[in-house]
Amino acid sequence: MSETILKVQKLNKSFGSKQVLHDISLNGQKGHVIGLVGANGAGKTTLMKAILGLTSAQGTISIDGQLSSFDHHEILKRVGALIEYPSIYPFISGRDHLTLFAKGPDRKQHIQKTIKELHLTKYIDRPAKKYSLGMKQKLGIAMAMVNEPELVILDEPMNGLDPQANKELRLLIKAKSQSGTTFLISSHILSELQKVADELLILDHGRIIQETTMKDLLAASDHYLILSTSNDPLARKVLTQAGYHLVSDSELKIHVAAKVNLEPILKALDHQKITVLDIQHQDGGLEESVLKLLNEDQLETEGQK
Amino acid sequence: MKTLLWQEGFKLLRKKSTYWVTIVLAGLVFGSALLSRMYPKTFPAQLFFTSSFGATTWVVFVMIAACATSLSMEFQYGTIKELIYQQYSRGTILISKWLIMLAYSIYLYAMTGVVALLGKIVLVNDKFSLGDTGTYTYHLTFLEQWLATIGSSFITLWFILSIVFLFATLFRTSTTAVTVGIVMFFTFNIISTLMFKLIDKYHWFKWNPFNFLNYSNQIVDPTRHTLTLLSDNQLFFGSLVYTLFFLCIGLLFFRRRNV
Repeated sequence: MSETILKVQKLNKSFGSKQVLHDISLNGQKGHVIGLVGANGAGKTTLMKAILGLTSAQGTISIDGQLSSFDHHEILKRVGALIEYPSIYPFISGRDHLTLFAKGPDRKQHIQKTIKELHLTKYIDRPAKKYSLGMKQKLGIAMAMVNEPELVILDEPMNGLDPQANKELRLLIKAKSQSGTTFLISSHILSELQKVADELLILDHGRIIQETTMKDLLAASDHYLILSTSNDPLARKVLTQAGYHLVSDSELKIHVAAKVNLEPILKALDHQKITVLDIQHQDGGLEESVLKLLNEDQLETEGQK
Repeated sequence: MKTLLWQEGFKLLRKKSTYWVTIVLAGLVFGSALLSRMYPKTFPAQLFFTSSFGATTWVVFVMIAACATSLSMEFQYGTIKELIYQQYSRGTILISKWLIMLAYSIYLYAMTGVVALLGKIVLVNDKFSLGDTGTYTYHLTFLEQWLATIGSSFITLWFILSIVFLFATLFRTSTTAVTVGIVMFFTFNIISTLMFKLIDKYHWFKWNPFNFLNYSNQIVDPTRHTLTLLSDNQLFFGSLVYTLFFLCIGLLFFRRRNV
């Protein structure tokens, strides 16, 4: 059984009369990457801020069994974070930022390692005011990771990163999680999140509407087969008669279950002397699944009004 | 706390303005000493020297700006988040800022003091002796008056800075805190005439915080006692109490601050 590093119980937060977090409870297991997904204003950043003691909230937050609150958060020394946008002093260099926040006897080695891992060497000694958005973002991530924390909280870490940097970050997160670091990551770039997250929390209007593993969510999403045959019009007729649901007029796209048996499809086509030239699998993906869930929640909320 | 003090010190020493302030202040002090040498009638050296050739006033401006920005820059750059989600409490963060600013103000007084002393020895040594008592210095020698001015203006400076810190915790930008500090410093002489009239009429009004800004004036000019109606000791301890009071209110606000 894996170890719980982050435990949030019944977290509530209001700004005046507007409640932005409703009874949020979640567990983060050691070495897992948890994706936090939701529309703008769903409460993702507020939840992260509450965990980090930046904003006050009702409920309990414990990190590796130790309670953490707005006033007392000694345990946060084992947490690294990047919230909203990178916190950068323009008058000092990137290396100075790491020096400023690195702690412990091995800090020099940690700084060097982080610079190398995030490929910052080229510009780390330049004043931060000369950094581009992407450079600042990478420095912010480096600051979150420099003390080798057990829990890393990243709010939209892919913001401003180019495709290469995105890939490097993804690989780094994967490597760190495999060596036991837990990540809580919010992102609007669902395709990137899909590649890195093990678990998913979908937040809507301050409530967790779905807590699932990435594997289960993707398995439950829609699956399709796209066929190319020697006689597509006839194949369309045959497949419809055989009871398959075709979803497109322009191509032979069949809606199928997660685990589909190809044999009856091929047999039916072969029976009419239709040759199958190509078969492609297509999954709905994270984006489609999340949007579907958010739409369902929206309809439910409207129905309750 | 040690780490926070180190971080605050590191940031202060990495700012170019810290070095410029030293150069400019040293230049102003030395320049003023030079003016005293060149135009002794307009700028009497012995009078000018007692305020470290004007440095006690310049330091007030520098420190108002330094204290206000030491806090507001964290909000402006978003680095306040980085400070808080280290393991330290908000209270410790603010106290570490106070302490570094205290050290910085001591440095500025010491540095300008040394330059003033050098300026006196190099440029105006023939105009007066540190052991003399002048027409305007009443009971004190120039050396004593110089030290008393530095000490008392330091107390008054921190009284002003406690209010600057209070406003800096209430607002996200440094503008308000800087404005409040400077306006307080400048308008004090204007409102003090009215204040003394009120004190004369209602004796209890002598305990109002503005009256304590007279401390450094009264130290070198004991006749002020007839206006403030407070003794030197009362002004000294009252200033300390008010300073602590305003710092503590700032601390209470800051401890509750959502980021």
